[in-house]
Amino acid sequence: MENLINKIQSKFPEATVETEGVQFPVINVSPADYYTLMERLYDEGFDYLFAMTGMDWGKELGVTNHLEDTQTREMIVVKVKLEDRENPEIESIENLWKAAHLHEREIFDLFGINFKGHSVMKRLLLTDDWQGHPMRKDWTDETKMIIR
Amino acid sequence: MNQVTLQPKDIKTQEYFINMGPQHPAAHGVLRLILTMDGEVVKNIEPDLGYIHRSIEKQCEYEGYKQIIHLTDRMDYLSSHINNEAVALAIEKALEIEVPERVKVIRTIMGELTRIASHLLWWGVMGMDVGALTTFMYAFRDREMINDIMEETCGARLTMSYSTPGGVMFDLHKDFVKRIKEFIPHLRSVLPKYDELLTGNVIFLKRMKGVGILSPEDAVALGATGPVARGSGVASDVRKIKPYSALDRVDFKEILYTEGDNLARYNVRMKEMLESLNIIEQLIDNIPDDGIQAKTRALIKLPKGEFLQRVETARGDMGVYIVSDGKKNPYRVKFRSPGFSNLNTLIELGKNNLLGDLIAISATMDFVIPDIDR
Repeated sequence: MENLINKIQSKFPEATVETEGVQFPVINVSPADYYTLMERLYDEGFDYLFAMTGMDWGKELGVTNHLEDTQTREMIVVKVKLEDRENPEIESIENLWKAAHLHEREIFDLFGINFKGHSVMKRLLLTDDWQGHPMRKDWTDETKMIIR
Repeated sequence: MNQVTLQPKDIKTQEYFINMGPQHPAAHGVLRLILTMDGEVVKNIEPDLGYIHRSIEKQCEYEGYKQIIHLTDRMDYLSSHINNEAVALAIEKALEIEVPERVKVIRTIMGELTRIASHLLWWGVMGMDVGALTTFMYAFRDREMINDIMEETCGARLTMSYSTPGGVMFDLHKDFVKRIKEFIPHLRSVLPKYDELLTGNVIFLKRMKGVGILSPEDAVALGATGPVARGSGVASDVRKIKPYSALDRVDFKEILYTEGDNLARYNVRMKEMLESLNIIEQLIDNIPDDGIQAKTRALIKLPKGEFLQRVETARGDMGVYIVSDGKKNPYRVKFRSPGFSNLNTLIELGKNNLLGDLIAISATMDFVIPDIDR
């Protein structure tokens, strides 16, 4: 794992890696480097996309990916932050891990992040005429269904 | 009159749509699949989810940690105890609480009972999906025995909410051990008969053998876990990868079949029930007696940070990912549900199969729709 982190840091000097005080190593990557990094991790043997989590950090939106190597059972976390809240866009990793197909659709639906190159970028859980993206922190719940 | 001979190549087919669900007997809940068909062959599957979406993840952001446990019952309601356990374990990990040994053993026994009950229900409804009605009656009779055991101890039959951060809600009922000891030999004696009821039937076998073959590479790539992945020979049991509760002290086999077809997935679950009985048997005689609750604060606040806990539900790899900013409710909670990724598998696997086979394949996937929608 240390070996891999060193390799990644030399290949992606702008990415920061956290290893202290976290369950698994966390790589923070810029949207520009995101796809190449994910491709690299895929080639390094992280063949199982455990989950993609949409995030709203208040200022930025983003995605947290948990990857696992099914041989060594090591996990790694990749975080990417998107500054643009109006039109957040990022590369789809569907062609690397097919598991991303539904995860990306769910994040598009609930956070409004557009995944470029995804085969079916449509809402998944909510209806097509739904306004807004309810998992965002600035979403207002007018019907008081969830936020009481 | 001119005679026209029609060659097969002259016959053109036209693609059309079939709406499967949201109310479909084989969907086990409100799942809608929009199928693109060419004749009787499924060309594309487009899932339309959200009929039972309650936004549990959003609700969690407004609830305290103890309350979150109750929401997880309502995801995969057939693995509710294991879901509860996942949240409890994540909170305990974050607060560095060491729970009593008794709690660990109780949680594991309850978890395995839940797994058996879930697999029994699956066996019953899967028989129905492929046209065998008897299985449902048998399965529900035996599942009822587990529900009774659960009810005595947890006070609930389905949505248990039995685990709490640091322990369990109540101590075991005085008849718990006795009841389990009656149940184990009963299930051991009936399971082979049940198995033969289906696998001894040539129609059933024809719908299972060689249908819906999932390669191990695809299983990993699509994120399939649980019996679906293990039917393709992919070792993916979280109980083996990262043992939790009392699973580190029991000896059990991870059931793997390499065929990857419907029958393999069927066999995995049938054998898993026996393994679960083995686990319970190893623990039931030596339940430690050191209390049922570790000391926790009345108001739980998690330290700043991110915590991931994975457990093996009856459907596969379930993960709870909590992002905490140090307040009394979480900043973000993500439930990685096995059903969600297994549905992704069905989308790929169902393509280029007959419509009837799609029903059989989805029956061996064992979907619980609230687990997919959350």
